[in-house]
Amino acid sequence: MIAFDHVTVTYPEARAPALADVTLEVDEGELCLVVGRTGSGKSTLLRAAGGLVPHFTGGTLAGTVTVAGRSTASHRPRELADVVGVVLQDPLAGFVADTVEEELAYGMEQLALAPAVMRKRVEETLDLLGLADLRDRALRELSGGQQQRVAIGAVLTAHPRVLVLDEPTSALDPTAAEEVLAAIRRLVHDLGLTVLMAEHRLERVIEHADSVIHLPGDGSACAGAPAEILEGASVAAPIVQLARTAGWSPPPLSVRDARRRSTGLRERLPETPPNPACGAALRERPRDRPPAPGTAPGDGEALCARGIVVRYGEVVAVAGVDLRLAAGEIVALMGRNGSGKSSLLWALQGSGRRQAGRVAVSGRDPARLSAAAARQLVGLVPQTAADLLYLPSVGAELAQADRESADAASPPARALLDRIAPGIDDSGDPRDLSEGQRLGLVLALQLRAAPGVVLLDEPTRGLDYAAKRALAAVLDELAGEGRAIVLSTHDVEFVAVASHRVIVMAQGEIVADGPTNEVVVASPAFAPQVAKILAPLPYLTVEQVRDGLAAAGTR
Amino acid sequence: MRSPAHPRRAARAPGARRVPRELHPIAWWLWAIGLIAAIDRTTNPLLLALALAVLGFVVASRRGSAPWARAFRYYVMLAGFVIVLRVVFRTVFTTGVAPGDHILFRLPEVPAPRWYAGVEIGGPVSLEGTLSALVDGLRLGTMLCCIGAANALANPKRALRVLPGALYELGAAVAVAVTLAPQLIESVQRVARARRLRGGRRRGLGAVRAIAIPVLADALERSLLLAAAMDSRGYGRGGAATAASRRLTGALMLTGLAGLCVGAYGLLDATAPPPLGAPALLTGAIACGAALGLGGRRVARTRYRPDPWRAPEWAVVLCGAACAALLFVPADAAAVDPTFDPLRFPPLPALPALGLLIAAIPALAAPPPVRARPRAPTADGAAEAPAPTEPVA
Amino acid sequence: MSASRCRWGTATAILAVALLAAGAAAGRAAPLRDCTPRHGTIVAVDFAHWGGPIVRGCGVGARTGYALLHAAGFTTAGDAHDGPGIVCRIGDAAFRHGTQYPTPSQESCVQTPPTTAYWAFWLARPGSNHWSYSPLGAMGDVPRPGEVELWIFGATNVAGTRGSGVPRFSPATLRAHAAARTHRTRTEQTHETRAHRPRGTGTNRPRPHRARAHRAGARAAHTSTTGTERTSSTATTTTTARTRRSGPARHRSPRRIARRPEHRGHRPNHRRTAKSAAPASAAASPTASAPTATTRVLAARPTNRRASTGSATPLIVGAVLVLLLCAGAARAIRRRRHEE
Repeated sequence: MIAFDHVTVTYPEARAPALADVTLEVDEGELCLVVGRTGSGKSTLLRAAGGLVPHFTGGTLAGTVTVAGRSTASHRPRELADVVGVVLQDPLAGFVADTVEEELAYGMEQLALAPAVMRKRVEETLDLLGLADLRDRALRELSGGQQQRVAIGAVLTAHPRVLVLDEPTSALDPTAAEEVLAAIRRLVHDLGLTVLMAEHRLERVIEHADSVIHLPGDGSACAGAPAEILEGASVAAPIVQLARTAGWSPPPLSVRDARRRSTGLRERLPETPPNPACGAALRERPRDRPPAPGTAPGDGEALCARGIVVRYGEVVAVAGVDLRLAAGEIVALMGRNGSGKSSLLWALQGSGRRQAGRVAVSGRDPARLSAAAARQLVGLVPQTAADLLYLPSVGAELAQADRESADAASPPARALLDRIAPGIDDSGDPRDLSEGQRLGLVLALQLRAAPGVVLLDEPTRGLDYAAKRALAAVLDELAGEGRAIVLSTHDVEFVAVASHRVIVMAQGEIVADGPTNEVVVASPAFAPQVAKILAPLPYLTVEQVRDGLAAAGTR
Repeated sequence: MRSPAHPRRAARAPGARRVPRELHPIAWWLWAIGLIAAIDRTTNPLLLALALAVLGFVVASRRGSAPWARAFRYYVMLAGFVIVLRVVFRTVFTTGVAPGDHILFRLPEVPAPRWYAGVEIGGPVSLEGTLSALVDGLRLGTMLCCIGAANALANPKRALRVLPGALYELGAAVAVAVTLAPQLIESVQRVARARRLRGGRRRGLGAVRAIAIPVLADALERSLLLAAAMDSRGYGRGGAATAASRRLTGALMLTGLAGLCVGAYGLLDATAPPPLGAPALLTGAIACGAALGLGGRRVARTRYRPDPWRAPEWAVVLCGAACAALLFVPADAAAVDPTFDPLRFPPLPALPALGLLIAAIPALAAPPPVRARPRAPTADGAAEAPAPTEPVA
Repeated sequence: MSASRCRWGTATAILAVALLAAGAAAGRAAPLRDCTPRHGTIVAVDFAHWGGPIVRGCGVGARTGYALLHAAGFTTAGDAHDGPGIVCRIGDAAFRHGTQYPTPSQESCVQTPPTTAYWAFWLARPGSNHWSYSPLGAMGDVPRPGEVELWIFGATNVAGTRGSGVPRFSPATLRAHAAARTHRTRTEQTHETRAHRPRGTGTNRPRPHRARAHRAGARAAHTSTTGTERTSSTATTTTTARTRRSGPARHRSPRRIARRPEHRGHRPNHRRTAKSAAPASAAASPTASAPTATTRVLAARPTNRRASTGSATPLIVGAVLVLLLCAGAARAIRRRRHEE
């Protein structure tokens, strides 16, 4: 169905080709997963399959890409619209119409189908994707998962043979991601579509994949069965890492298969892991356990918030939340989309609205101070980190940060950046950086003000495993300096590795607050893969398993 | 006022209620244009007030529940601003006071130099002058409200879909711009809030730069993504047009436009030779129509659920046309354009008033608007994106 | 401290002067004899387009041509598009009870009148004896002492040289102190010529009556005026005694005068600076300019502006209709709110 024949793609002004001599085939009716680190060419591969490279993105394409018998060299993307449907990363940016129904019909209008056919197909697609009761809703009011399904439906009404998806679940909470993946699976199994998708967070997807294409990063690609490709891939889901640690070959791809293989491992491991999950790599903690909520503030309390209420008109986003942060503590804030996590973080920083409640950081309320003083108490890295960048070069941004926080007692911004994300030079444009590098830059800019409390809103969106490991290490360092850190995320694996304490929010209230190993294990939906595989043993991460095996081995 | 939801009559068979649907947008626009043509003919304050009341009545009865349907009040505010501006200008730049005028008060006068003669600043402010400025502003404001009413009653994006095939890309560009405008506003709000995180100390040009650049970069990226999405969904697929037909279309369109220009000039200039007037205009219009029809072959697309044109649409259009026609009937000029000198109560000419009341009939003739169904509150609530900024209306 | 006080004092003085000047902007009427080549400005309006006379007045101290018109007793109306600054209609009590011309049926005065039918504004500078087209409008023009301003209705071409809006007579005939001598000699002539002049409009009117009335009027004028003040054959004065007699003449006069009179020859050179003798009547007496035999010059009279305010019934009916519609709208809004 999709055939790449000695394809080399070189972008203009690039030093090396993004894809170099790639030859592979994707059969009909397969769910093919494209894995690789950031910058390894996954997007290029997907866009080449959709015909957008080079017609839309520019660059040189050598070799041929054939999709459903049509060559992308002689067919523009609009002429491939009836065989290939492409859904790019941000579904909201690709919407043309106002309502769901019109969006579904748009593609068919461009293909000049008869009105009766259009109406029938719209109804079918609504039923197929479970959108029937959303048909009149405005697109901007839908949740992330619903938007993603609408975007898939919008390309589906043209009845293509191939569906190309670029990170469909990266911005979604676990439940919404499951819905989208279920819809995709149904398309593959019931309709016989061929689906080509790229994903960073593989743990959800690899059990459904029929084949995997791995891009190591040098421009080449190798395709094959999931188990054998993933065994040696540069990116590895926790289950694959566990398989590597435990020596299982070929690695199991689903929790059920892994549990079947893990009986022996479970017997070998000690009852409790020797090291805590968080901070396993770096340095010693002053304290191992954070203070329990509700205790009297000790010397190390960094932030105390009481009764925070945030309201947008009629909608109550945060309904009376109490929070205490100790110095040197990393707290993960979890909850589904719309539960008030972002609103809480902005209210704590002082720049967001706060209708009621008190916040005290070193005895002062950030909301009452000027913006410059508030950022020296609490620093926030927002969801779209690029909102803070407006100067033409990295060097200019760093210099501006030094000017803005001239009186703060912290090393210059350049030193901070080198510590957090090394390898970024001054002359580059901030918008050309990768997601992880941009996040690092903004974090350095905020740390220049030397705040005692650092808040991060969804920092893991779009980061691959290596970048997440690096981020976890940075956060550990910062916590070691005595700062309190709060990060909101959906990524349970990252939470298991990076945080001491987890707070779960729903509908503006805190429903769970406790140490990581208690909270994440308590619910099946939130549990990391290792915990699900090794239940009832309280292991959260592969490092803990490795340490456990090492401890068991020395016994 | 008989309405389907009148409590006493609801006891009848439920099928007697009319099915709510949206009227064809062109019908509302033609009605509004008829009303504008009618208002242009008069400066009688009573007739203008009547026209304004008719507009308010029709909009209140027949507008939908979508966000764009609530725009009418902003047009009314704009009209009020226009009136106030006119009165203030007339007060400050008094243009002469006749001896019999009622003087309200006197402003200190600033005489203009002789080389700039013609401007009088200050001086006595007369009731007649203020009233005539008021009526002048009222006329302009009522015309603005007509446009506002058309915007509130007709979905602007559905109105764009009615464009002929040759103008399809233009309509698509405008439709996309209308869709993206709220996103731009939201982007500005988000970036302005994020500025505080960096201290937000800069004012003036630096602040503009700090907000404008991220917003523009964001907008540029989104527009590229949108273009890629539209392209891959088939936007711009070629129709049955050859190079020859494209050349012919271009030639016809240029000829038609030239004909329209020449015809307009000929009609306006009394000394132009007769062939330059109406015949040239007609020829130009026909050529333009042919070019549009021929150019429509270039774009092959169909319409999903096109708006039907039924009896209520005809009724609405005819009401607007009748209103305009009744005001074009030669009537007592002193009643349709009353003077303020001497000051007297304005008359109410019968035929024009009847015409304006006829323009209120669409409030009953058009089908009732589609009401949004009450949304069942879901556990998920709104999407993540609105929560940090402002919730979507 | 004293500097600021000095500044305040200057400011108040300027303000007071300005306020006083504001009151003086309008100008005041003056009897025609007060308009000399050094003092006061004459303004004349030619109603010949409707068969009417030239009505002439004198204003002293008017700051603009517009104020001068009003000071002299004329009423004007502007148009809806440009406001009162564009003179669209002019009326005076001396001509058809002050009806403003052109009437609404002739010109709606919504947009600026076209160049084929509008009030053209001509000036004769002090001491000059030919007309020049005014570069400014009524509001912009500043009347100078000894100037004559003329408003004449008709059409003008772009160069201002042709058309019915171009005056065919000289300013001297409108200035005060038009020589009575010339009029005296001429009135008899004009009697005869008028009686035998073919009628352009073709209406049959009892001419002998008019001629008789004219003669009567002229004789009366002769007897009652002294000096240079004189009535022409069909002229009327503003004295009440003559008003009645000249009434019928005035009514019938429009039918007689249909064409632009051609006049050659009688252009008396009026460069006298002496004030005229005391007038017989309080108001300005008309002087026959006799641009032709058939054109009269009357004195402007302020119109009685206290006309009726009209009935309030249409206003009430209109208000009731508006309120009904607003009630309907409110009901629709309330019903919508209940449903949502």
